[in-house]
Amino acid sequence: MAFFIMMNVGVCFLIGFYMIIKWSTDHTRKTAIENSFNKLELIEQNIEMQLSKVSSVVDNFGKAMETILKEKGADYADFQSVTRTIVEQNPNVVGSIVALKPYYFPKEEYCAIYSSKQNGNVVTEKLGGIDYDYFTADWYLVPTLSGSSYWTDPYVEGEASSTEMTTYSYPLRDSSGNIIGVFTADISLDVINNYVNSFQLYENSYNMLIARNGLYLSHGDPSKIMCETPMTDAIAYRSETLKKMAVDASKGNRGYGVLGDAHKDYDNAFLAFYIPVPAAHWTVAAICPVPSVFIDTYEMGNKFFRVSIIIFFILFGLTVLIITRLSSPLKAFAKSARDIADGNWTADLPNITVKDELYQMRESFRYMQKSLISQMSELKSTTAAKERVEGELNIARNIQMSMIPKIFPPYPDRTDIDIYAFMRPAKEVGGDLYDFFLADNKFYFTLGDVSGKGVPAALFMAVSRSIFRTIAQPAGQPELIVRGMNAAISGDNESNMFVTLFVGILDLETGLLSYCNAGHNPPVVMRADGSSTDFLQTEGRKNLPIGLFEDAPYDKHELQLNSHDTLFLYTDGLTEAENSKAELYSDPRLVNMLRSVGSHIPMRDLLDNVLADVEAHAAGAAQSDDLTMMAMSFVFGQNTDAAATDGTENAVEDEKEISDVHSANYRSVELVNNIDQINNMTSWVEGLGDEFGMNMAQSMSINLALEEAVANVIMYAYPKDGNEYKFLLDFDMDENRNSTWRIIDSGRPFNPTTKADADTTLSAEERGIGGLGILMVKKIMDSVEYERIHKQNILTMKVVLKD
Amino acid sequence: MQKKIGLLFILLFLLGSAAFSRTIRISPQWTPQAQFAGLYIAEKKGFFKDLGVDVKIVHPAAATHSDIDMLREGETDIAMSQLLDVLSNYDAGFHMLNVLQTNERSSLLIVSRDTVNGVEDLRGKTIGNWKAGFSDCGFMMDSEYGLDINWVSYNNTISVFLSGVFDATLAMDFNEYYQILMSGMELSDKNVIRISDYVIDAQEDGYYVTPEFYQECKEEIGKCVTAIKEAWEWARIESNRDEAVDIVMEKLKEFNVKSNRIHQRYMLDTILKNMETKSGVAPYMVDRQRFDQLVSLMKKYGFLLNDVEYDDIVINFEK
Repeated sequence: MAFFIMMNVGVCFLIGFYMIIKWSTDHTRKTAIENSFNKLELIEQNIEMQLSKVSSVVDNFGKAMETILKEKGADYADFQSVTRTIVEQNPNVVGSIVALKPYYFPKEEYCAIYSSKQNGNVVTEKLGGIDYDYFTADWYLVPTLSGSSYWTDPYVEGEASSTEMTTYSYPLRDSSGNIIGVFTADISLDVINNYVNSFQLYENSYNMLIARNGLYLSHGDPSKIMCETPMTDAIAYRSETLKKMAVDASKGNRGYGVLGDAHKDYDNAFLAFYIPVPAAHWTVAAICPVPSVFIDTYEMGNKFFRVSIIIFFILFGLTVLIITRLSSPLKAFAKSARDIADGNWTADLPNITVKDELYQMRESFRYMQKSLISQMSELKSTTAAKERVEGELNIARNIQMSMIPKIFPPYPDRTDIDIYAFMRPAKEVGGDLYDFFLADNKFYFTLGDVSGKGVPAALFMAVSRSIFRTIAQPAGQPELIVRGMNAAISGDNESNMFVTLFVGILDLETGLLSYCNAGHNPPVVMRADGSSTDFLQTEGRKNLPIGLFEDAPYDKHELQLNSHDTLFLYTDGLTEAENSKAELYSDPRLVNMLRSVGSHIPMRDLLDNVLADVEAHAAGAAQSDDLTMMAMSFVFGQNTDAAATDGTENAVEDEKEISDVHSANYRSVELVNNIDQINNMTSWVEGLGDEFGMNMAQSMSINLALEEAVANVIMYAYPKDGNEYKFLLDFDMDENRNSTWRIIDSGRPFNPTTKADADTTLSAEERGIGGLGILMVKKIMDSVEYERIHKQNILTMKVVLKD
Repeated sequence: MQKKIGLLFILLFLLGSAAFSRTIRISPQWTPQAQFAGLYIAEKKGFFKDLGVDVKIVHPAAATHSDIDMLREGETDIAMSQLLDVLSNYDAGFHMLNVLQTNERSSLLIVSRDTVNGVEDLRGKTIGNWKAGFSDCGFMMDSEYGLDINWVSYNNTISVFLSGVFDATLAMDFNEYYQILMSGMELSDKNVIRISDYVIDAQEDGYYVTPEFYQECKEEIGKCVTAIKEAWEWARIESNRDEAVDIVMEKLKEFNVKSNRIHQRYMLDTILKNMETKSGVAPYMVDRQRFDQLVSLMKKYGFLLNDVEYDDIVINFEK
């Protein structure tokens, strides 16, 4: 851009200077030519003056003579007198003649009275005759024929003489106006030539006088005088200018022209100026070297050119400077902007000291930089916070999911139970809940919906589910469970949240379902015999959702189920699922759907069908509410001896030996069932960390995992009878830094890896392994395995140690 | 001056007698110019000398004393003249013999200020003629066509014509015509009338001797004629033209004649052209038919009183 501007400015300057120089050159050239003409006119005027000095005298004498002729008739003496007087009185006049027409005086064919200077004296003689036939001379012929006075072309008087003469001839008239002869005065051409050459127009110039007949009377080259004419020179030199000059001179015109080639050979070219001398029909001319004529023009042009060039360079330099000054910070700004864009927030800005627009621009840049830095740091922290929240929400989701039973079939060894549940929160975490467990051949289950969504609902859901888990079995009756839950929740319910809840206890022996519906959507009962598929109709007053009023009444209802009858529970996220037109999935569609599917398919397939249908309805529209479904079908009275033990159902002892093959890295520590032992363990792990160069962060993580596992043993493995029970924590590491951590205790059988729930009602310290704890352990450790060997719990955790 | 010439004549005569061969004096019509180049070339290039003839070129001393006057008075041996003047002189009793005719075609023109389509346009005009002669053909044309021209005699300067007092002037194509052009006056063919186109193509320059001298020095005259012809033939060769002009200019300088090379070159070229017939041949002789035509015309208008026979005037050396 800078180059483009500079080019444009340069071209504009050049055109401008060219125009100015051309204009001024043309002007001065014109002036120089005018000046030349003025000088030449001065010479011409001098010539005219010299001629007129003579002609006026002759005219006056002539007129005087004519007066005499009128009055008395002039005689010889009068003519003699007048010629003598004019010669005597006028130093330039060398001769004067009165030449009379034939027989003016009777018997005298020729009569010419001639006075001339000879050796300082004026001599008068009478001329005329065969030898001096003046009648044929131009000075006699022209005035007598034309009636006008006449300057002759210069002539050489006498063959021996080298002096050119010119004669002014006045036609004499008698009283009747008839021309009787002429009266003349001769002057030397030198008199005129003195003035022709009185000054040079220019150095090395010369002036010329050209006669009527074209002959040079004065010339820079004397050999041309009376020999050459401009026309002969024009032919000799093949000069159109001289030809034009010859023609113009013959016509009495003025003009000028170039001799030679001023373009090819300026120094040797000449300018010819010529103007007429009207009195004698002569022409005065000046031949001037072109450089002399235009020296002033040339010098002025030269000076002007030099000054122009200097100004041009100064202006151009300044322009370049300004443009560079303007553009180089712009370039620097561009670089800074790029740097900033590349993430270098503190990129240097060009240094601008003058407080101009660029300075303002720099300040704006600096402000932008500052704002960017602060905004980016804000964005960073916001993003970090968001990421943290997102991360935490993910954990929360996992925790929430881990709270609900999600391993299906939950009782793989019970062919009489087919249950499947599905929960999909609208956000990371949801407010729906479901839970079930088996105790005393009774199937406790619940499904509810916390008002609202997101984290608050999730927390409320967790609380509700924990309470259900805690009080369900002790309460034994659904309405008591609900009342208990309502009491627990509404007691400190500052957030005014509530839960709709369906709680049921199904006697797997009899198929009698006792339930309490606390404001929840009625489940769909699908009779196995196909007699009906419809919403569960509950007689009597309706129960309120829990959490609203602490002392709200809740009633129990009963329904007799038959084997293979299907109970389908759901939250309103199903029936109120919207498509993009805000149309609800709706209760009728649900029932129709269930009817069309029928109850003789596995519960998982049933739910898959319903889910497919609701998704078909939503057709990609975003899920706005948590969606939960649970379907169950039983064969009653089939399994009577099953004795489920809470959390230990999978703990099976076998005949394996506890491994005691150790490497040189083997270390162990003995701990007792006292929570203070955690500190001992921590320092032991830290010691191992130092010894085996564990990564600090990993060391801390491992410590956290072990803390969790060990605390679990301390808290739950042994009876709280005040006795100290010892257990072992050991460590080994192979050459690949694969570390193995084992907790070996002889407490009651307990497999923490199968504990899928976390008891959120307990504090972290109170909470047993499982749920949150085991999740964390699993996350930290590469593998977590449980074994029961020789009435000992062996929890083996493996992790590759980082350097 | 006459005295001096007289002494010179005696001196030359004595020298010539002593060597048993005399110096032949040849005179052109006036002061040196290219019109007489043949003479100067023959002298300069030694053509006379080569033929063993001793020649001296003697120019007329003054305008009022022509070469014919000199011949009449024995001041020269061979003079140049125009046939018309020779006839006039013969009629007046001065007998000259033509020993060499150089001019073939007339150079006489009338140069008019205004354009003219023919002689009729000259009717009643004022036309300048030479005081020195050579104008008779113009007069005869005037008479022949009854043009009633106002002839004004003037001396040999074009300035009178240029001043505008004449409507036209007589001019030689090799001299005044060119002088007028060289003054800067613009002339076209329409400003020029060639007399020969209207009245007679009278032959001009030729070399003349008295019958007495012819009888006395026939051999020397023959040699002179041969040398002069040789000189003109030399000048007719284009490549010699510059040198011919050099020789003329040298002569001009010697006699302090004011002229210029351009004009002399033009004059030489024109004279040479006028020496040729229209078919480009230089006959070097008087045409008998035109001789008789001229005689009868001159008689018609009173320029000749008696008949003149061709053979009375013309000596043909070729025969």
